[in-house]
Amino acid sequence: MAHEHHHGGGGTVAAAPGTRRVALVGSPNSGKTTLFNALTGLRAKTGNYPGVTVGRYEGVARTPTGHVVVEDLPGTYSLDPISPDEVVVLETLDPAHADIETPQALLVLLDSTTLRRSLALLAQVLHQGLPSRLVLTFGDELTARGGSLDLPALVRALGIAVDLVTSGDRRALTGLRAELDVADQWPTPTVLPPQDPDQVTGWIESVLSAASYRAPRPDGPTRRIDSVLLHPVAGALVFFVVMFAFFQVIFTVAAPLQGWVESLFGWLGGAAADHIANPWLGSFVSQALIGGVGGVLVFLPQIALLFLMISLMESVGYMSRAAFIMDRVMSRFGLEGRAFVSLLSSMACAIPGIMATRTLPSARDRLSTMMAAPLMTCSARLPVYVLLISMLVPAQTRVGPFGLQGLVMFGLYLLGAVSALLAAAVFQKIGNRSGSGLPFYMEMPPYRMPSARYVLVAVWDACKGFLRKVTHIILVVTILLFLLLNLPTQSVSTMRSAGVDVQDPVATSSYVLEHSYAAAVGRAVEPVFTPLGFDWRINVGVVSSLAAREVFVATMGQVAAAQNPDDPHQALAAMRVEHGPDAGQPLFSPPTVAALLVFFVYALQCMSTVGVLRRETGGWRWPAIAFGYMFTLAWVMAFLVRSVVAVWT
Amino acid sequence: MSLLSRPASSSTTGTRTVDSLPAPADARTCCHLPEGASFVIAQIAAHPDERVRRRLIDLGLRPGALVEVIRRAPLGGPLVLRVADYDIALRRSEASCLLVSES
Repeated sequence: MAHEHHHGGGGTVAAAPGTRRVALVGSPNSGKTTLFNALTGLRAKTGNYPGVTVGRYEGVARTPTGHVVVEDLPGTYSLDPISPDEVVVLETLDPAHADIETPQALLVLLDSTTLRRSLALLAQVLHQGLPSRLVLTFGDELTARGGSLDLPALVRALGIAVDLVTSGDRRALTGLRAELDVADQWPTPTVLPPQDPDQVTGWIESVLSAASYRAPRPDGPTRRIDSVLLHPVAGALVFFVVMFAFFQVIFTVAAPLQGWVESLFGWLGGAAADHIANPWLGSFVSQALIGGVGGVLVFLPQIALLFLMISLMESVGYMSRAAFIMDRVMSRFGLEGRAFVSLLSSMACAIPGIMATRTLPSARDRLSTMMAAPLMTCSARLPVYVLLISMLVPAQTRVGPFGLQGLVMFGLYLLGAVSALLAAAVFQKIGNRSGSGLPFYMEMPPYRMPSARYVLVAVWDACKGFLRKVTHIILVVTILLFLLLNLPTQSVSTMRSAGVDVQDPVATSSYVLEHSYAAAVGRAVEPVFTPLGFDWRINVGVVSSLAAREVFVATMGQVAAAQNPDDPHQALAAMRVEHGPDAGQPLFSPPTVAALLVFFVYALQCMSTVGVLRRETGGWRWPAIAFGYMFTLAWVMAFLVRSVVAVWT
Repeated sequence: MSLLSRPASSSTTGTRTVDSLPAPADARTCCHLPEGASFVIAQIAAHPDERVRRRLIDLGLRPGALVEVIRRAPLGGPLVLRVADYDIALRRSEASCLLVSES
């Protein structure tokens, strides 16, 4: 299981030229990221390697005499690369590869309890010919499980310096910082290990016996816990209970926190509107600026909680067990077990779901999962579904013991989930054309006490990164939307002459909206949406829902000039088709409402998601592909459903 | 060591299709061993992608290595094996490359 949570904000990774660079090389689960966090504190930067969707993590470590740039390379089991992430490791270590700066020295991390396997990675790394130093992690665990090794003998056998560290060992860290100062003087072994895999086996055995290595016993508690958690029946049951609790926390524990964020920003917005004399500026500050920031911050409790739980599950070791249980189901869609957590999280919100794909070791799996995650039914779709379903299905209609409204809602959730899995399968198929799929293997680490620092850093990193990048995009979009919906300004005399009661704020805002640029946009896109039964008014709602899907409800309220913009059901039901053959008929006819519902199932009506996709993939290409394919799918599916419902009703 | 109990199948080309592989009889792969069984890897079967074979070796699943079957998920799900002092989960498609020595 890759432990790849790092803190860091954003921006490009760039260090002052001439600064010494040391890279951390190691397998997933070797404690690499924990050491990286400990060395670099809260001064890390994230970015992407040139041309690939592989996250790059760099930080500055303080040393006794200055600073060293530390780069945390993606976790790898071998330098014989089979994934883009592993190619990055190889290219970084290869001086001939000029795109990526080669570090001056390497800190190789190996889990001291799995030396029989992990020395093979060291053998490959030493062949790169860079000054290297070995750090053996989990020294306390080795001792606790009855293992031992002779450190000076190991140093002699390898020809490089070795540190044996235990978790939370401050003294070893201080020593390591001092060593970083002289990293370019670290030795390269005089006798290199063999390269032929068959001879490497013999080399490992000779090194281990020279160091009097006694392998640790299998961890007893882990065996006993696994006999339940990996059991075909009990394990599946525990898994569903854990996932249910997971989902509940994201929805219910986050809800009051989100309520506080909402009321705080509501209060701020109200205060701004009250204290700014110019009404236009007042509503700009309260709605566009404060409302826009609040609309993003409202996701923060969910993201913090999600990453708290994911990093706890990873830190303890449960994530790989959950992935083991789910692997068979996910493999049918070309994904691996670990993608399940991301898709499940997307049912709260696609943003944390997309960020949760960081736990997937393969870049291709990450992309396919990210392309599918926004199709899972997120909580922002809920208000839209509630409104539209109530217009489509009378509350009292029942099918057997179930209310039809609930069944339709369930059907929409199911449609989203099935579509997401199929989309992931298609993206995996396309990706796999360029080469065979990665083999699936997953280390099952022993259960460990979660590291508080690791968990907190993961939460902090997720929140900080989310805020930094997304606030830019969402702010620009909400400001733009506000301007479109409220410009050009209408003078009192114009409105009077148009017969609008200027004392009635609902009537005036409806008049402004009807003559706004947004209305012009809504009319301009009519040719696209007319086949789905959407007129310019629905189009304004659809366009405004790009800021966040639930904005659709409030915008439709403004458009319909409802007395209560938060429950525009009545006003919307009274709206009529303005012109054309159906003029005078209800605008929200069953075929149109059904088409709208299906449109919202598929369309990527969420700029925050687009922003996160850009952040996580390091470019505009994948967000553009996601937006394009989902819009096309949404239009086609809405058209089909509209046609079917039209025949049926 | 039982490494050479059979002539090693030629596994040099990376372009073979699955069908043309020297299909190992089911009894010889480790997939059908019960939980708790131990075995020595006799050889790694050829895989259409030579890199997979190489990766299995890098993961410690080398010819001659002693492996214990810790757990088998039902209905053709993945296996948990213990090798080189750690536990690893593999899908059956990869595990079927691990050929058991006939002793």
